[in-house]
Amino acid sequence: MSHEEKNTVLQIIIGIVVNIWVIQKTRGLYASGAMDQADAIQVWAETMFWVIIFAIVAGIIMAIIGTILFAIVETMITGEADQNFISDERDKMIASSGNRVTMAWTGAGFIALVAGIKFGYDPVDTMVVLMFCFSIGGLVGELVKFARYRLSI
Amino acid sequence: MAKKPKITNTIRRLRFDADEMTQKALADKVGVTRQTIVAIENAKYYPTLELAFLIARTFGKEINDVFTIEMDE
Repeated sequence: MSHEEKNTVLQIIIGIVVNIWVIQKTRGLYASGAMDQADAIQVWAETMFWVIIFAIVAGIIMAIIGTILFAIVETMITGEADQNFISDERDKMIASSGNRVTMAWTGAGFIALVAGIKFGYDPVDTMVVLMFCFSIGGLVGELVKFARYRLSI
Repeated sequence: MAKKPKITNTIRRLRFDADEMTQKALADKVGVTRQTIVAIENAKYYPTLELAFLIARTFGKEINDVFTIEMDE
């Protein structure tokens, strides 16, 4: 596994955790009735703000811990850790295909938001859909990257 | 619809002829990962023209001696 492929595996793990957390937080907000209040959009935005901060910080920490863990496992299996951290043209091509999928999801989320508001849905509900499209799109993009890495060996 | 042409290569043979050069050694010489060399050798990834020239130059060959395009009729 190249450094970028290992990073993709880590991003998938982070993506799964973040998606589960977003779903749990959103369900909690609906269950508590906070999403029916007049200030629902502020409550939702505050919650999602901390989810995003958590996702960024967790992503950085996981990348560091993951790199160390991968090096330890590699050393145990092969006797030496791969010190090659380069990102080459194949990595960039695969990253680009994953990013296209993520962009498609976020674009679809934005269209859903505009269409939802146009057809009279509560703006906070359309924002929830947009947030899901962002978080799920990020995860799907990473899964596409991982699949392309595995299929092109 | 025209079929996509297939690009084959002789990198594996050239590596063996070059004192059994490892995939890692070739990767280091041309500045890519070993996995990219594996993918190119297996015709799962087609390199850019720049990388193709670099690989050919590493073996002291012309690009046509390393990569061959196969057109399906």
